[in-house]
Amino acid sequence: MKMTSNGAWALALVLAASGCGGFSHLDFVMESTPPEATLISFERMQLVEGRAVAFVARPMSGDTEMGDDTEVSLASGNPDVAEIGPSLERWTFVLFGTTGGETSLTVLIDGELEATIPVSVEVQP
Amino acid sequence: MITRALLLTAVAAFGAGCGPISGTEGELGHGEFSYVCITRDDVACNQSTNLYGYTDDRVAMPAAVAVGMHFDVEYRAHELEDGGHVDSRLRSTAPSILTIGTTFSFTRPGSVSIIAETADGTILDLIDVDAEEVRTLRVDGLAEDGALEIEKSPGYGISYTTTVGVIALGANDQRLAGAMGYTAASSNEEVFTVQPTATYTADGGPEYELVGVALGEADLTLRAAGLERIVHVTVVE
Repeated sequence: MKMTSNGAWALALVLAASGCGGFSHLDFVMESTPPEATLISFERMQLVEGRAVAFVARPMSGDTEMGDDTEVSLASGNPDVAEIGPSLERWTFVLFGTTGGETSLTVLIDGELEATIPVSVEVQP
Repeated sequence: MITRALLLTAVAAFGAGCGPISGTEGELGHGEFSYVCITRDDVACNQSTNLYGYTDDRVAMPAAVAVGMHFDVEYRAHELEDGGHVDSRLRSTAPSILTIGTTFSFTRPGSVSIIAETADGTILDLIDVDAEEVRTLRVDGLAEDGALEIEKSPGYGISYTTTVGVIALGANDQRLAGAMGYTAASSNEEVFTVQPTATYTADGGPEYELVGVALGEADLTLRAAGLERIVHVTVVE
């Protein structure tokens, strides 16, 4: 059976609304008070050297949060510039820049590489 | 780092059996960070007394510490639901700014997060610590011209004493935590002697006791945090 274009969109909408669709992005909820120059988003991240930021990275499918059992893993491309580690609560991470420079965070959802987020770390004056 | 982690775990375990310590809740709310003074001349501790009247050597995290001065930090995770404790170690998020060896010390002014993590790298908590340069040594108890007159002791086992207080301050007279390493010396002990007391100024700086031995003039040299202040002392009748 061949699905029409309208049918595919309708199915995608239904799946997204039910939380059963594919991963689209991470939604970040801050868990600590970051310095002013900090930016945490799915498009890019900006940190201040030596300052840690804690956040919840909610895996989203469109506007819907994915299921509780969704596994989110974040890893730094260069731990000499920025490190990230999990905290105790589900999908909670602590990210910090160890020295000035550029790197990236890889986003794995249920073990699959889904995105790479550029990260820049500003040196403290 | 591993040795330090074991030491912190041991200290935390020891602390767990010795009653509550005053600390600051971590940003993630999983435990408490305590600032630990490694010497008595640290203003963070010498103004704090516990219920029993003793000076606490574990206190809440101070607003700022002095660059280059040493201190210690402990973390104690809150009790788990089953009553157990999680062992943790502390890390600096910028080792080039805040070094952690046998003690903690800032290499330059700045703000650095300290994280508490488990052996498998799970981050339990974090707290930010600020550091400022020591700018001045303020001496309390001097005349308006910055000099000091003390009375000659009469002898026969009788000594007249004069007390001088000193404190190392940051910009805008900010009090800074850290082991400042205060010292005081007389340039001529045949004119006056100086020795530390067990008391502190209202701001938490150490106080020194001067005794005039003979009529004359000499200098009192006060040092702390790499700074020096010389006070001209005259012993009068």
